[in-house]
Amino acid sequence: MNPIIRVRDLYKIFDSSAGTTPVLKGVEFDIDPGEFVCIMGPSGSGKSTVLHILSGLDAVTGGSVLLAGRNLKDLSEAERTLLRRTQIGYVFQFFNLMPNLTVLENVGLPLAIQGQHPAAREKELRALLGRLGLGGREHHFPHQLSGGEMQRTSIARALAGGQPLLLCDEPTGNLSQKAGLEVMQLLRRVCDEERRTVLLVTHNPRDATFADRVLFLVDGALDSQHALHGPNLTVEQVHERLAALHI
Amino acid sequence: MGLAAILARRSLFQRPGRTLFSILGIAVGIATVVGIFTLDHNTLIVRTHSDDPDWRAEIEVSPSASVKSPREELAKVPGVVDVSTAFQSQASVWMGGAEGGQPSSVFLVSMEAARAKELGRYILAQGRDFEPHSARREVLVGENLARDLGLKLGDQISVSPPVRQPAPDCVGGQWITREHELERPPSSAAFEVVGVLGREGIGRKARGDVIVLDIDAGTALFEGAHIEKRYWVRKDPKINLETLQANLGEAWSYDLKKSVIIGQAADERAFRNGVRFAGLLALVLGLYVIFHTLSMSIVERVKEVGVLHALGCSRAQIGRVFFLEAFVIAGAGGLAGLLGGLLLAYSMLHLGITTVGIGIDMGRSKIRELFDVPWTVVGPLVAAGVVIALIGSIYPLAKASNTDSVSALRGEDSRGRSQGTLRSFQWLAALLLALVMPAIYFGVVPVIGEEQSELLGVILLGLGVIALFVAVPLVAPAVISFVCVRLAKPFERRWPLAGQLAARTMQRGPTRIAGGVAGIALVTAGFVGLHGMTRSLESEIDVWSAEAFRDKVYVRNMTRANFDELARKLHEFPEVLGVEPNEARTYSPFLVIGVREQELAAYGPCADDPRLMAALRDGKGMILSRRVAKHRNYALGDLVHMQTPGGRVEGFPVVAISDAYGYFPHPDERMYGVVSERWMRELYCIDTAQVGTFAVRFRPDIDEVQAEGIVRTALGIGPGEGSIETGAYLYWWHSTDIGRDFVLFDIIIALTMALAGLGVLNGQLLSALERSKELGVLKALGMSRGQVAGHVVLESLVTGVVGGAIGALLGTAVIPVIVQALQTISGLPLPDVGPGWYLPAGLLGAIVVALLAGLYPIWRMNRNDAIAAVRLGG
Ligand SMILES: Nc1ncnc2c1ncn2[C@@H]1O[C@H](COP(=O)(O)OP(=O)(O)OP(=O)(O)O)[C@@H](O)[C@H]1O
Ligand SMILES: [Mg+2]
Repeated sequence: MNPIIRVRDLYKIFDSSAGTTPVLKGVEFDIDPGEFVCIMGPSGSGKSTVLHILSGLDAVTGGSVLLAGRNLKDLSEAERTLLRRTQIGYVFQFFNLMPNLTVLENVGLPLAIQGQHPAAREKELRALLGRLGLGGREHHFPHQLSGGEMQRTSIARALAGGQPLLLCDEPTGNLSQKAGLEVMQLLRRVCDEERRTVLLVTHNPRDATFADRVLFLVDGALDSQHALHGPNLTVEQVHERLAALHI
Repeated sequence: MGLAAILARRSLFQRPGRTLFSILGIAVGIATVVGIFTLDHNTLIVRTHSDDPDWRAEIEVSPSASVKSPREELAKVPGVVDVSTAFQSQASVWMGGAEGGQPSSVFLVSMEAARAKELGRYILAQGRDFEPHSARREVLVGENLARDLGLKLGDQISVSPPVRQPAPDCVGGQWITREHELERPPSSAAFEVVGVLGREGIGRKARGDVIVLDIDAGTALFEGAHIEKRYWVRKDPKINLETLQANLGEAWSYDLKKSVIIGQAADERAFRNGVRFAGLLALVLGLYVIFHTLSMSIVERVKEVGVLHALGCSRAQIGRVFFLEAFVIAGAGGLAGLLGGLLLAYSMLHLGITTVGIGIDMGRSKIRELFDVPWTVVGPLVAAGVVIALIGSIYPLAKASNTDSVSALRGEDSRGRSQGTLRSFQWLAALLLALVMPAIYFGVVPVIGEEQSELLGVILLGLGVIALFVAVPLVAPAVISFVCVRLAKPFERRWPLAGQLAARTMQRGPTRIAGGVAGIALVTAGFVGLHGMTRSLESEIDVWSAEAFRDKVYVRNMTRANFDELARKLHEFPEVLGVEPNEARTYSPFLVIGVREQELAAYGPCADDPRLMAALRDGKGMILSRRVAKHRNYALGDLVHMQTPGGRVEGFPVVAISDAYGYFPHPDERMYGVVSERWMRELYCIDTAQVGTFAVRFRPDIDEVQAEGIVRTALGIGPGEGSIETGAYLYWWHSTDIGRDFVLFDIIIALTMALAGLGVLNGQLLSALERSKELGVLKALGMSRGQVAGHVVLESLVTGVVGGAIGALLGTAVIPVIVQALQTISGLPLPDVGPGWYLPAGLLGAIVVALLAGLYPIWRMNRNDAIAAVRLGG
């Protein structure tokens, strides 16, 4: 089986007025279709950066990234956009909801972008919102939501488009234990039932236990030796590994 | 609903303030231009449409004796694009053949059929036009005549020239009739009625008892009879009226149809061109405001674009969203501007405000009936405005790059990154506004009069002003914001929070501040510059009136009395220097007035050079007013050709150029010449012994009440009786007249001022929206409403002061340019007297407008829900 994501020797160096910051220094990993992979690492280690690069939003400094068999470097801007539209559902670390749109409209956005009529699939969207505990919030604007509600709206938006690859940047960061657990169960179910690939970035060991594989990003590289393999990971296993890596 | 529709609709309605003020910006800009052009267009239409049934077209000229073949020679005169020959006369008409029934007397017009249509002076109620040079002898008859004689199409009528007195001539003060022109029996000819004239133009002549013939048939019929052929000249619209007059000057006398020259005279042309130019400024400013607004919203939108991009929106899709939104705004603005402009023009006409002066009653029903929209000018300008606004709103999207979207997603402050986009956007805006817009404008809008160096100055001025737009936001934002921050600093001591906040927002949005400053500066410059111009016109009146009439008292329509008797009575008072009669006048080739040269001895050029009096009397000399000399290019020693009633041409050498003699307020004509009354008597048989209208010239040190008293005492006119005007009163009238005429400019300035205010308002509003989170946090931390208001007021104040100061200086600097251009256009010797108290007034106005512009943003900021802002998060 061809991996849906293949990353080789990935380098990312930020150049800014504050100086150059090498963040990723030779990251390598593969993810197979239908896999649920989790990336953990210290704050500022470059996890979000990896996701940005995978989605084709940010450019690499060196190395190659293959998404669904295609090297992102070889794709034009328009092709990367198309790839993102059809292949990737993204949960942003900072929700990034459209402030002018209601919850329902925000969630329908990927459909609209794909050229469908969100209104035609309103029932489905409402059901999705219901599953995320957002029933009755459909016509609220983002500023009328709690932090957790905003986060769940952003998750619903990532799921609504039906893309095979989900990139989730700390999707439970603002949620209660219970709500977080429900979101993780939902993601797992999406992975199992719809065979969607999930790449999760998190600081929460409990979330990591839902993954098939946990990778650790330390010092700009992914330490494959210390990767954890599921299924049935326990919180203790994760804690132990984090401690070993001084995370 | 598609993606674009959802997003655009939400964006428009969730931010009603921004939407409204953006639309308003475009609308006011477009309304001003549409208003100006519709007003100008309708001013000319309504004023041209006179009730006068006279049908003379454009310029009617008649040849002097020196002209051999008039038509050919006339066609060669530069500035003449078309010539048509015609004559009018009385005639006798009767039904049937040559020896038929009872003749009726009718008015006859004989003209070139081919050109009749172009001259457009009659319409047909029935039948068809006659064929040019037709051997069939066809005639058009007036409606009344057709009814009285029971004429039908196809009937035959006979026409014969009237038995009439031959035209006499004035020779040596005696009317004489030349022998060969004495009575002879008229011939007659039969014509077929091919059409009946409607009651318009020629059809109204003699209340409808009128016939129209082809010129060839008419000439043949009137063979041997005295007819005065006239030549209708169509003027090249690119040539100034004065130039054409000068070209005709020597061999032709001419008669201008008043309606044609409306808006064509030098000062009217200057005024109308000025108004048009102000229109361009308003349009550019309006677009600048919208560009400014749009560029501000880029900052706000960068994040939105980033998210959409991350969600897989293609550029085209994002483009569509913004296009739709911009289309709604620009379209609504364009439509509102168009309607508003038409309404503006219509109501100004009703109020008697026109592009040829103020306080002219145009007649309400006439305005309603004739109101017309000049689509050929208004259409393209509105379209250009809308298209440029559209480009302005799409462009930023093309520039929003990937890095922008990543940083937006990271929740970074996107402002720093979008500064580059802003910069290039400003360049585009400058390019469009400084080059494309004026190009379109001058392409669409015809310049009135000759396109020559006179306009170069005005255009250069315009480009200079537009360069301000380019320069300030592009080159100087850093400088401007530095100055602004420095100005705000002292306030920090008094109001630490408001002062600091104001300083910081100005520092962070230099382009926005610079844009607001540029807008305010432009309008202030316009205000100061324009009033510098009116001051210059006023001081020209000042100089002219001192020479021409300030020390005079005008007496009108007294019972006519012997002039020598009158003069003797007046000269009993030592204060009286001279008496100028004002009845002996003729109009060929321009207003010429006969005076007593000995009365001129004590003032003006005759006082400086007494030999002038002899030159006037014995040398047939003429003293020209400064304006006529300037416009007709006369220099000392040139011959002015005047036509006598009998068609002879007499040459009068120019002996002096001065306004000291001959000006009379009724009619208020500044193009005239003065000759000795002797020639009025001898060449025109005008009685110069009796007068009822004259001017009395006093010593300069006398005051007006005393002067009027002397005239009343000398002539025995009781207080309150008779028509007596003092020069001092006339002076007052003339100078307030300028003020009144320039009300239109003030209206335009007020509109552009509103625009500049809108620019500042939009900038502050967007900055408020953009900073809503920050403001929310500050409010959550306990910042009061007063502190919020304080920092906006401070920013407004600083914007107003800097913009006002730059504008006032710029305005003062351009006054000489405006005055120079106006001087060339109008031919008036205009002094540059600076801006006077309009300088501080402009500065103050700028500050007030900037402060007013802050009110809405303050209200909006205070209404801003702190909780919502904080909640929304990154
Ligand atoms: N535009 C930039 N210029 C300079 N440095 C940057 C830029 N963007 C990110 N960085 C740096 O890159 C590093 C990685 O950032 P990233 O957001 O990927 O971290 P992260 O692992 O997601 O952290 P967290 O867990 O806190 O979200 C950080 O140290 C950050 O300072
Ligand atoms: Mg992160």
